[in-house]
Formats: sequence, structure tokens, C-alpha cells
Amino acid sequence: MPVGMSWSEVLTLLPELCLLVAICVALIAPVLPPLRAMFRASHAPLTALAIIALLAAIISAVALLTGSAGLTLPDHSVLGGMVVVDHFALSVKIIIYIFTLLVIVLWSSVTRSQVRLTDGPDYLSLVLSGALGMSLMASATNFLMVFLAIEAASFPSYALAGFNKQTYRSSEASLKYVLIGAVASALMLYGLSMLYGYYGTLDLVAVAQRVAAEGMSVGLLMGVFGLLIGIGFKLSAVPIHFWCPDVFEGASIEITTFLSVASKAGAIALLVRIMMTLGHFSSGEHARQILLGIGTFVGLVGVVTATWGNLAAYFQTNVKRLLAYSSIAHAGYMIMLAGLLTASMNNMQPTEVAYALLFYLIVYAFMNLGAFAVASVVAKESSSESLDEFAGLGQRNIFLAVAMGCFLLSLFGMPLTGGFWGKVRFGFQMWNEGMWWLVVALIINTVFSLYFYLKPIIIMVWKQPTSSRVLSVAPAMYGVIGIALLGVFATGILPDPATAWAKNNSRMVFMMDLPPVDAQATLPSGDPVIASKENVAEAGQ
Amino acid sequence: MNELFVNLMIFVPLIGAIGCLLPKNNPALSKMIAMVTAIVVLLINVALAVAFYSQAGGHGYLPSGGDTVVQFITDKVWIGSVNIHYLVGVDGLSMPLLLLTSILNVLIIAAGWNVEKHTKAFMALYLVLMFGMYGVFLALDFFLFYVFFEVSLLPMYFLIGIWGGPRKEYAAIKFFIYTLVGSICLLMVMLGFYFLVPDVATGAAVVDGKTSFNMIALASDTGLQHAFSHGGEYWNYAKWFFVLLFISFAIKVPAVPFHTWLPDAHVEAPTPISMILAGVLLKMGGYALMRISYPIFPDAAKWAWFGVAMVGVVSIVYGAFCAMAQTDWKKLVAYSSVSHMGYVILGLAVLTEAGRNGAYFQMIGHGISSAMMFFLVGVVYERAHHRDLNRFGGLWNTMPSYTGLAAVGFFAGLGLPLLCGFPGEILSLMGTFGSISWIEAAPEWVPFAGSGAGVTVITLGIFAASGVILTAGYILWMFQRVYLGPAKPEYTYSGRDMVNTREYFVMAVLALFAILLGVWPAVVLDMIANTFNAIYAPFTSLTTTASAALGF
Repeated sequence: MPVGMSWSEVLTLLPELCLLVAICVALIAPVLPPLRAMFRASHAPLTALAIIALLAAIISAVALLTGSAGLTLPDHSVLGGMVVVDHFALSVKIIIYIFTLLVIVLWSSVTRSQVRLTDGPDYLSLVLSGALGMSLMASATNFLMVFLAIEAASFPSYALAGFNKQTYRSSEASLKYVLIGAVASALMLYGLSMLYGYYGTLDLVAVAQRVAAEGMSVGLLMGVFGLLIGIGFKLSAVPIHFWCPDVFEGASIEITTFLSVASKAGAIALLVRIMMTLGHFSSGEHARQILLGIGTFVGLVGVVTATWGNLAAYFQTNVKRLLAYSSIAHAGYMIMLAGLLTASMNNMQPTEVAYALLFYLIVYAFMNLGAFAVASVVAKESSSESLDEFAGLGQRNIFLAVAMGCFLLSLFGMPLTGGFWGKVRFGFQMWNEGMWWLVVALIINTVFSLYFYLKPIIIMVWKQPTSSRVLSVAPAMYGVIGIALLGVFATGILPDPATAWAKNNSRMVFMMDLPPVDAQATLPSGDPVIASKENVAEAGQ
Repeated sequence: MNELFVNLMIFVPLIGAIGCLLPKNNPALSKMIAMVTAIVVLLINVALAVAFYSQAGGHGYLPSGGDTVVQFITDKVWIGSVNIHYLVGVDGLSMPLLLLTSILNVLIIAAGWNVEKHTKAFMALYLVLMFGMYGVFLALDFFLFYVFFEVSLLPMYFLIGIWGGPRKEYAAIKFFIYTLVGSICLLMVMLGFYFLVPDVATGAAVVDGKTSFNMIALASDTGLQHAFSHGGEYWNYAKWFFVLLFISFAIKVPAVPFHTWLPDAHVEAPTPISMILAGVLLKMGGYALMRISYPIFPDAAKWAWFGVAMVGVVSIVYGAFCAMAQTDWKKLVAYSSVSHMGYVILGLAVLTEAGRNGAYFQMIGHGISSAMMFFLVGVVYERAHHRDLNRFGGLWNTMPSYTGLAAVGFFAGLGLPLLCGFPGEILSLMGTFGSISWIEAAPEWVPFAGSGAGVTVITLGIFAASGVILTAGYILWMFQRVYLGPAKPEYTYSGRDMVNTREYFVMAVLALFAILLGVWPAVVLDMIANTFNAIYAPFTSLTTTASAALGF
């Protein structure tokens, strides 16, 4: 199929284009002689540029979503079948962009002063390109694009993890991240090449149709395995999670926040899209068996990840490591849910699962942002990230202590906070799909997690503070924490609006327009490569 | 108007809590705000009770029938996507407990008048706790109930953890984790309801194809009742749900073997918090059993009667023995709570009218007597700074008026006739013996049905009754060690250390109620009678024979 791109197709990628323009400007403008002095004087102009670009991206994404300002959603994949811009992708993108915006605000009020002025452009362009990669992950519908998106998100992350050039820990974190990332990419690429070798196509829908028609194959196994490694790396799934605590500890706190939420949002969206597409096209009994196997395996990975994260968090004394393991556990819950997408199809309601996940992402973004923001204030004040620095926080700044308590309890899943509804929805979906063992795992994990979420609260309330100085906080910081607190309670006390939003915006393109393909109709005749070419053509039309 | 009162009872404490936090560097004002809040809520509660019991058609259950058996209902959609409502109202099951809570609140804030550490936060947290307690007793939506159940948990955690004794952190986290495991059991049942109910319910338990968490509707839906009954579609689920709910509420009660958090929490908690913990928070467990477990799963309750009764009997006897072994005064009182709450479990388990009434009365009576006992201990502890029973002696001589009131309090705990501890225990035991007839006549799947019933029930009853003697043993022994004997000079208090008017007030009011309830138990039993008849209609056929046998 010829790659014909109309203007309206280009416009569907407007959010990404906004970021792209900002990245180019951030890289080029500071070296232009007339502007040089301005950018050398302060970080402010570039920060403003990044914020404007992100705002533009958010606005254009919202416009696309609502169909206003002449923008409409395409009902098929664009860029020659590489990406798809649908409700689900756009919703995840909006979450990522808003989050990136808050991360930049966090940066400008906490660590910006420590960053050299000449490094500002690098930093901001790296953050923006990270966000660009992550938003492409939410859209990718071709395995080549999957790989590119993951790499586009990973490379800036590697550099950002090591951005504190002066500290040894930061460099170590960066190196660890690169090495594990390289292994993961290599394995993923290997798996994808097997997939291509077997099916002759990298198009997700085409592969899903072939799987539905032909059932199990070595290529599929290898491909799924490679993909799980690649996505699992971004999600810090066990057993490729080792980078996560080290990177979170080594990187500066806003990068940690960025990696723990935005990066995982993109990756989980990608996983959901792949699983859902595979599940959607499977109609034959044979295919179902395979998909049940894949779904069960993914669910199992989720269970192991969550359990590992929760248990390892018990022994942490560094607040960033503690939150890192907590984010591993939360990634585990999300992977468990993704497993549902193919594991059970008797009364399958994929949109229900997708919206449960979107809702969870919203809540998770708020509570994680809040917890990291408070942690960053405390860590900056005492220049140590030990949990002991939280001692007596209640006496030093009651707002921070109460807010941190709320975030931690929301991460645990206390009623009246958003985290509770996130988990309850997961439980509902799992039970609904008949995966009772996932429900049991979720509950046991929740109980496990209580102790280490309470630990910082205990320290805040009961330990005597090491210094009696009142903690002062920048107004922007109060703003970020306030937004996070508001989000946690808004989704906790009145979850209906967020639920409705998630429900309305969790549709995916293939569900709207492509009816499930009859298994017999696409059975290949003869040479698999030729057959798959036909499939690509069909899928593209 | 009355509907507004019901909502005010829940939210006035919350407003009061915010009010408590506002004054800067003025703890006295915070205390006043807390006290005024408690008094306002008490007045509202009394007005509500008057309105409730003067309604035409008897005590609360409107004769027009349907599901409007509860009065003063507020029903607003809260979370539409899962059909959760903000549904609150009053019936005979909640009214006496609400009155108990309101009375105790005033007394407890008075008891906490001398808290000096972070007074503002103490009062604010206490008022948040009040919010949770009223919410639990007023909520009629299962989910709302769960939320308030949790809400009452957090302030308690901090109240024990910040104002407690030397091992406060340990006690607080133990309390938190135990109770939280209980609420997760509750959550699992709710999840189960959400998926199972729409398939079988035929009445109000289903709205728009989705489960309604309305507890009254769940209990009265005939389709659901049928599915949950023996041999019904969900009989196995019913058993599981009953057990999960029982674990959840038995932790709160607490019953052996889930009781170990209680002595720790009580020993470490400050006096006012011990009072509210024993006086009201434990009752949430019993109340929840009566409100949720038994009405929704009548057949599972029959199936489980022996297990539940065993838990009750073991709690009574084991709790009493543990109390006897203590040298820490407060721990003794804490174990006595375990023992006394065992009568609540036992009275419910045997499914007779006398047993149920006894269980309910025991909750109210124990609410008064245990709060009083903890306060009596606290009064001495604040002066002597220790609670070692073996070091006390002769308080009778040095603090005569206090000892007079103490005698009322501890003898009420002992279960002396004409004091509030007696009717509950005796009704619960009568109910136990009275259950022989229905168990003999019960179908085969009920444990010990048939000829084995007599021996089993009598054995249980004898063990439970021995609790009365054990209680007398440890209370009298304690009384002897602390109050009797020659006067010890170190326990002579004069001047500022004398028992003050505020403390006499708290003790006198509690003593008054202890005597009132002992002399006139019908005041509580009349309040609950109509509601019990309506809620426990599935058991009426059992109880008529039993109470007829007793002439009750």
C-alpha cells in the first residue's frame, strides 16, 4: 500500500509536532548568536518554551479528542499504518503531557537552580523527547513503531538518569539503565525479527488476524516473549526490574517522578493495545487457547512483579527506593489487568478493562506525583534521602506531613482516596472475567503493602525531628502538591466524573471499525509471506 | 427536619473538627468547641429519638411495609457507576447505640479535658472519630458503611499512637493492621455481592441491572434470600460470605482468636480513648453482625451456629481466665471486655429471641460499664502513675467517695443484678438454653440437629455460665487488692490531687446509667423490639417455640 499522507492525517499528530518543534527550538535557539545571551542568563525562557509547547500539545490533543477546532479523529491508522490516533491513545497522551508539565514545574522549583545554565537546553529537550517517545508508545500499532517508540522514550531517559554529572550515583544509575536497556532492546528486536520472519508483517492487526486464523507458532511465541521483555523493561516488571530502584535513587527526584509515571503510562498503554488487538481478533477455539496462555502468563508476570515490589519495599530506608518498589508493585497491578485482555473472552468487555486502566493511570499519576514532590522537598532540605529525614515532619510542616500521609494511603488503597477506586475497579474487572486468582493476589498484595506505606507515616508522626526548623516550601511546590492532593481526593470521594471521562475515552480504533475477522476467511493459502502481504493490504484499507 | 437531623449527626462532628483546628495557641477554646459539638449532637440525637419513638405505627417500622422499614431516610446517588448511594437512616437497631455513643462522647471529652499534649489535634481527631462512629451506625448502604468503618479506623490509629503509653507505636500499628484485615474481608464480600446479586435478586436489591448496596433491600429481597438459603443457587457463597463477614466483625468485637490487638491497644491508649474503644468501637462489630450478617444470611447463620457459639464461649471463658492472670489493672479490664463481648457473640449465635435481646443489651450495658471501668482505672493511674495491682491497697480508706462509685462500676462489670451488666448476660444465657428446641427440630445440615442438641447446648451453656463466676472471681480479687486492706500512705491524695468535680461528674453519670439500665432494662429492649421482629422475621419460627419454652 502506498504511503499516502493527507493533511488531516498529519494534523492528527499535532501534539507530537508541538513537542518536536519545541525540541528543535530548545536545541538550536541557544546557540544562535543573537539569542545566546538571553538563554545564558537564566533557565526561564526555555522553561517557558517547554511549558508552552506542552500546553499546546495538551490543547491540540483535547481538540482532537473532542473533535473541536476542525480536528477529527481518523478511523484508521496513519503514517502508513505505523501509528493509530484513537481515544485511548489520546487520553494516555494527555495524561503523559500533563504529567510532564507538572514535572517541569517541579524541576523549576526544586532542582533547576543546581543545573548549569548551559545544560538547561539539553535537559528540557531530553524531557520533551522522552515525552514524545512515550506518547508514540501509546499510539504505535506496528511492531517497528513499537520498537522505535520504546527506544525514543528510553534514550532520553538514560541521559536524564545520569544528568547529575557530579554525583557518582547518578552516573552509576545511568550506566545500569543503559546496560539493562540495551539487553532488553536486543531481546525485543530478536523476538520481533522472529515474528517478522514467520508472519512476514510487522503490522499489529495483521499479526493478530493471522494468530486468530493459524493459532500457535514459534514466531508468535518468540515475538510475544521479546515484546514482553521490551515493554516489561519500561514497566520495570520482574525479573527485569533491577534498574528501577537504582535509577530512581540515582536520578534527581523529578526525573524519578517522570520515569515512574509517564514512562509507565506509555508502556502500559502499549501493552494494553497489543493484548487487546490480539484478543479482539481471536475467534477460533484454537486461538483462544493460545491467548488464554499468553494472558495467564502476563497476569502471572504481574502477580510476581507486584509481590516482589511489595516485599522488597519492606527493607528500604531510602524514600526514593521505597517509592521505586511501590511503583514496581503498581506496575504489577497494571500488568495483571492487562493479562485479562486475552485471558478471558467468554464475557469479554475490553473497553471496561481499558477504562479501568485509564482511571488507574489518572489516580496513579496524582498520588505518585504528590508522594515524590513531598519527598523532594524533604530531601532537598536535608540533602539526604533517608526515611529518617521524615522524622517529626508533622511538627515541621503539618501540610506536607498530612499530604504525604494521604498520598501513601492512596497508594495503599484506602477508601475515600483515588487509589481505593483504582484497585476496586481492578478487582471488579478481574472477578468479572473469572480470574479469581488475580483478585486474591491483588488483595494479598494490598495487605502486604500496608506496612511499608505506614512506615513513613509512623516516622513522620512519632520520631522526634532532627532539626526543629520549619520547612519552607516554594509556592509552585505547594501548587503541585495541592493539585495532586485535590486529584487524589476528587477521584476518591467523587469518582464518577473521572470514571465517566475514562469510559468515554477508552475506545480504540480497531474496535470501532473493524468487525472481528472470521477465522476461516483469512486462513493463509500456501506461502505465508504472500498471504501476509494480502493481510497488510486488507488491514490498511 | 428529622432527615436533616440524621445528616447533621454525621457532619456536625466533622465541622466541629475543623473548628477545633482553627484557634491558634488556645487549647481551651478547642476543648470548648469539641464539648459544644458533642453536646449539640447529643441534643440532636435525643430529639431524633423522641421523634422516632413517637411515630405512629410503633417503633420505627412503618406499617406501610415495603422496604421503607427505616425512618428518616436520606437517599442520594453517590457513585452512580457502581450504584453506591449515600443512604442513611435510623431504626431500632441503631437508635440505642447512637444514644450510647452520644452520651459517652460528652463524658469522654470531659474525661479528656486534662490532655495537655497537642490538645487541638486530640480534640479534632476525636471529632473525626465521632464522624466515623455515627456514620457506621447510620449508614444503610453497605458500601457507605464500609467507608465509615474505615474512617473510624484512622483517627483511632493516631489517637492511640500519639497520646498512648510507652509501646504506643506497636499497639497502634497492631490495631490498624488487624482491623484492616477485617475490612478487606468485608470488601471481598462486597465484591462478591456486586457480581452475584444481579443474577438472582428479584426485588429492590437490584437497580438498573446492577447491585444495590442497600442493606435493607439486600436483606429483604426474596430472590436473594432464596439463592442464599440452604440448597439455593448460592448456598456455598452464602457460607463463605458469612464466614468472611464474621471474621471481619469478630476482629472488631474482638472475639478469640482475633482479640490480641485489644489488650495492647487498651494498655497503651490514653484513658478517654480506652473508654471510647471499649464503649463504642467494639460495638461496631456486634452491630454489624446484627445489621448485615444475620439478616442477609439466615440459613448460613443456622449452619454456622455452633462455630459462632464456640467462638463466643471460648471468648467468655478464655477472656475471663486471662483477666484473672493480669497484674496490670488496665489489661485486666481489657480482657474483661473480651470476656463480656463473648456474650454478644453467644447470644447472637443461638438464634433465639432472648439470646438476641441479651446480645444487644450486653452491648449497651458493656458500653456503660467498660467505659466506666476504664475511667476508674484512669483516675487512679493519673495519680499513682502505675497500674500494678499488687502495689495498690486501701483506697477504700484514702478515697472513700471515689471507691463508692468504683464499686458501682466494677460490680456492673461483674454482672450484679440491678446493674447494667446483669440483664445482658442472663438473657444471653437464657437464650442459649432456650435454643435446644429449635436445634432439635432443625434439618440435618444444622450442626447437632436432632437428639444431640440438648447435650451440646447444655455443655455450651454451662461453660458460658461459668464465665459469670470467673468474672466475679477476677473483679472481686481485683477489688480486694486495690480498694480493701489497710490504707497505704502513698495513695493518700490531698489538695490539687484530690478527685475533682469533673471526674466525679463523669463517674456519677456513668454510675447513674449503670443503675438505670440494671433496674429498668426494658428501656433498651422496648426500643429494639419492633425492629428485631422485622429484621429477624426469618428466625421467628425458631424463636417462638424457644421463648415459649422459657415463658419469655
